[in-house]
This record gives sequence, C-alpha cells and structure tokens, in this order.
Amino acid sequence: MTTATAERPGSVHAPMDIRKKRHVSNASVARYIFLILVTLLALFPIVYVISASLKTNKELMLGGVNIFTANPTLDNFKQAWGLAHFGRYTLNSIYVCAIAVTGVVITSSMSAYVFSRGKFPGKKIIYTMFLATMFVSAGSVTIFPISQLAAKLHLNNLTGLGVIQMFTISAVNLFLTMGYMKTISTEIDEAAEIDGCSFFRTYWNIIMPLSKPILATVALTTFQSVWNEYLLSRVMTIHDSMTYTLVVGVTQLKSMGGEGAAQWNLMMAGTLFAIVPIIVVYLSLNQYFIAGLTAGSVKG
Amino acid sequence: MEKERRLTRRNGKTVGQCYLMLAPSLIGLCLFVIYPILWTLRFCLFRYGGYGEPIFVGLNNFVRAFTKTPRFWESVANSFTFAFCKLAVELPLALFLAVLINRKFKGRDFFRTIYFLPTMISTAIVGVVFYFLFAAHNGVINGYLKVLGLISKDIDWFSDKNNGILIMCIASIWQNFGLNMIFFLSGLQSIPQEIYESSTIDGATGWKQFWSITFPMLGPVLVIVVMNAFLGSLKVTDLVLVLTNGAPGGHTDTMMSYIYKLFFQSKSQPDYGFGSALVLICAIILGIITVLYLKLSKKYQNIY
Repeated sequence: MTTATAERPGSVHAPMDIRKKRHVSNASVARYIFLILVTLLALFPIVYVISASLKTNKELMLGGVNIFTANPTLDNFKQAWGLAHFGRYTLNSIYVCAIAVTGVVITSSMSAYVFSRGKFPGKKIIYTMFLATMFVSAGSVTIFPISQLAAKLHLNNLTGLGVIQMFTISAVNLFLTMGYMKTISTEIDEAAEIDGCSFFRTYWNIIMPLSKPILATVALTTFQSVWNEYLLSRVMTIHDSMTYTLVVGVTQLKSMGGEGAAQWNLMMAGTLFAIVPIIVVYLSLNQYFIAGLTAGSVKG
Repeated sequence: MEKERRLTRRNGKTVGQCYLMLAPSLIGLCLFVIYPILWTLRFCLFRYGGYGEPIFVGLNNFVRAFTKTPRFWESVANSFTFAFCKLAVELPLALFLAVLINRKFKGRDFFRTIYFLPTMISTAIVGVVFYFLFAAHNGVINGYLKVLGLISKDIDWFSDKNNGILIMCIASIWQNFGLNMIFFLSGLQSIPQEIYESSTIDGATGWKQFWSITFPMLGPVLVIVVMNAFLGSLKVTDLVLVLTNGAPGGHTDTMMSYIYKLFFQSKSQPDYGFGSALVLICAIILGIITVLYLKLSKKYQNIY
C-alpha cells in the first residue's frame, strides 16, 4: 500500500531504468488490488440484496453464508408488487418526484434569471434571504411545524409532499443555475429586447433553453434526493398506507415485522424497487450527478 | 422624448415581472423554511401539547433540558462518538482513494463510478440493508464470522450500544466515502501539475510530495469537506431511525433522532414546546462547532 501512495498523482511514468520500472509495476499491482478490494466492499450489500430477493422466505430465514441461491424465484417481486402494494408505492414515488423536479427546475431557473438579470427594489434583501437559508439548516427537526402547516393548507398528501420538497430542497440549485446564467452573454438579452421580447419571454424562450445543461444536473440531483427522502415522506404519508412512497413502504415493513419478520422476501424485493431506478439513472447519466455535486459542494 | 417614455414604462413592467417570477420561490421559502424556524423559536418558551392554548413557561424548557433529561445528553454524546469514529475512517479512506484515482490508468472511470454508487441510495434504505446484513439469526455477517471461526454463537448486534453505533458507522462509511472521494478528487485536480514536476526535479517523491504539496494545497477543500462531513454526521437522523431505532432502549439515539422521536413517536402526549427547546439547543451546538472550526482552520484556508 505504501508503494501505491508513494506515487505522485497524475504523473506519467517514464521508465528510467529497470529498477524504477519494476517499482512502478509493483505499485500499480498493489493499487489495483486495493481498488478492487474496495470495489467488492462497495458492491457487496447491493449484490447481497439482489441475490437475496431471488430467494424464498424460508431460505432467507435460515440464513447461512450462501449469497447465491440454487433455486432462484421471481415470486417475491410479484407478491411485493401486487399484494404488498409496491406497485402503488412506485407510482406514488414517481408522482412526488415529477412534481418536485418540475417545480425545482422552474422556480430555481426563474429566480436565478431574475437575480442575475433583473433590476428591482429589494433585490439585495431578497437575495440575502435565499443565501441565508442555505446556512441556517435546522435540518430534519423543523418537520413538525412543516407537517402542521401542511395539514392546515390541506397539503398533507402526495401533492403536498412534492410541493414542500420543491421548496425545502437546498438552495444550492438556485446558485448553480445563477452561476451558469452569468456565463451567458447579456448581448443575447439585449437582442431579444430589441426584437420586442418582454423580460419574461426572454427567460422562457431564450435563457431557460440555453441553461439546459445545468438544469439537467439540477433535475437529476433533485430527483435523487426526493426519490430517497424518508423523514418528511414518512410524516406526511403515515396516516394512509396507500400513499406511502417506496422508501416509506420498505421501512414500514421492517418496523412492523421486527427481528422475526416473516416478510424478509418482500422487504428485499421492495428494497430493489427502491434502488434499481436510481441506480439505472445514475449509471446512465453519472457525469451529471458528479458535476452537480462538485459544483455545489455544499450538500445536506 | 417618445423613446424615453417607452423605456421607463417598460422598466416598470419589468420590475413587476421580476416580482411575479420570484413570487413562487419567495412564498415557498417563507412558508416552509422561514416559518418553521420562527415557530420553533416561539414555542421553545411554551408548554404546548398540540391542542388548546400554549402556556408560557419562560426558560423552564431549557432548565428542564439541562437538568432532567440525561437521555438527551447521552444522545448528543452519541452523535459526537458517531461523527468522530466514522470520519476517522471515512475521510482518510476517501482521500487515499482520491489520490489513487487522480491519475490516468485503465479502469479509472469504472472505479470512480462504482465508489460513488452507494451515495445514490436512500439513507433509510441503507439502514434496512445493513439491518439485513447484521441480523442476529439469519444475517450474512454472523454467518461469515462463524465460518471463519471468529465467533461460535450468533452475535445479537443490536442488543449492545457499542455494536449498534459501530454498525451505524460502517453503514454510513459505506454510503459516504465515495461522495467525499469525489470532493477530494475535484480538489486534487485543481492543483497545478507544474508544482509536482518541479518538485520531482528537486528530488521530492512519494510521501514527501504528499505531505509537502498535496496536503497543504488541498487545504481549502479539506476544510470545507471536513466541516460538511462533520456537521452532516452530527445531524444523522434517518439512518438511526431505520437501522437501530435507538435499540437497545434508546441508547443509540443521536440528538436528531431523539428529537424526531420526541415529536413523532412519543408514547405519551408529546410536549412540542420542550421539543422546540431541544431543537434550539442542537442548533446552538452546531453553530458553535461551525464557528470554532472555521476559527481553528483559518490558517489552512489562507494557503493560496
């Protein structure tokens, strides 16, 4: 391992003599061994759930060390999708995500446009308000007043869950979009204005379409966090089991069953329903995720 | 003259449009971000059971928090134990991996993609999965330990406080090391290569280069990553609720999960005023840590 760290980052190895060459190849072997080891550890829990979801409940209850089963079955998925309502939960999750993602893309691009292009009294104060909320994070503990307010506004349902997350999601999205819009030349705005575009039309027809790359990142990171959200979703949907999101559905199975749960097979299948979509989206678009996270590295 | 008038009218219209376009965000911000904070600030001075008139009790809630709730302070201590233990492994691992990955070699993108994968999964689901892995009777970890001969009887992991926190740490490290690796990686990529090249000419290699160039040059990124990771770990809630739910008997609760349960899972009628006081205490603890940390790390931030 020490030999591996001893390499300087980003260097191109120019073999100087035989001894040096040997040293380098040893280091790279050690590096590969270590990286593969970490890969196995990173993948193990996911592989475990996938293979366990193919086992019967009886086999799951027995435990043991066999990760892969001799008689795989798809029954768990059928049962979970229908009987355990995971089909419904999936639709609920998609619905909430659709509202939140659309909302975040529109509101954050609209506010970003106004802050980067508009001139109006009170701009500084309002901007400071948005900025401040990024640092004042009371975290998950303000969920109680939020849920009470939601009940008063008749928003204690899936629509409300989407709408509320649209606003409670980190203001990072706004600042990411603003940063991007600042790189778009204002000459474009001026040209549009001369052509008779109003302030709003310039945004809708020109600036928003031009900001597509950053809005894709915003949409993806929003999708990821709303799809995965647990605390608020649980509070907002707990009163009606038909409104559970996937994450709530899985965790409710666990908290009802406890240690001797007879429904491990359903939990495994439900877990897969919850993680497969996000993994597929991530694997096909991972550069957007990583770009979003490194650009706005203030998370949580 | 004509032109000027048109322009001013247009400006007035533009200002109106500015406000209209900001309105949705602004209303949402006031309702769901600012109002809950004000609510908490108000009710920490009241006794309030959810219905009826709240009763003003002054600072009584705080007195009660400091004198009569050792369990809350145990949960605060747990938060710190959790944060320190997990970051002591997670951050060095993330940095080490970032240094390894920050060069061109075959399979680099593959490793980066895989390491970041766990970050994509819901924290609550991570809790469920690690609950499966560490289950007492049919968990695969106990199975392996038995096959390896390390234990003879199944360990009931969640019946012991230290084991519970250990599993929380393992689950959280698994989920987050890739995220921090990506942050470190973006920091490493901003270090100019010329520095390494000239220091190689001067004869510096390996560890020496790491400690005298990489580490100090990474300073500003390091400060932000460590602070975010630390504050984030102190605020851990969903992992605890799903993985251990405080088992055994609330001894693995962290400060946020303790408060969450106070609000939503109390067996008796909860006192929301008292809960608000605890929220405020947590916010102050987090605030003090942020300020202290930024003060202490000033010398690293001014490295450039």
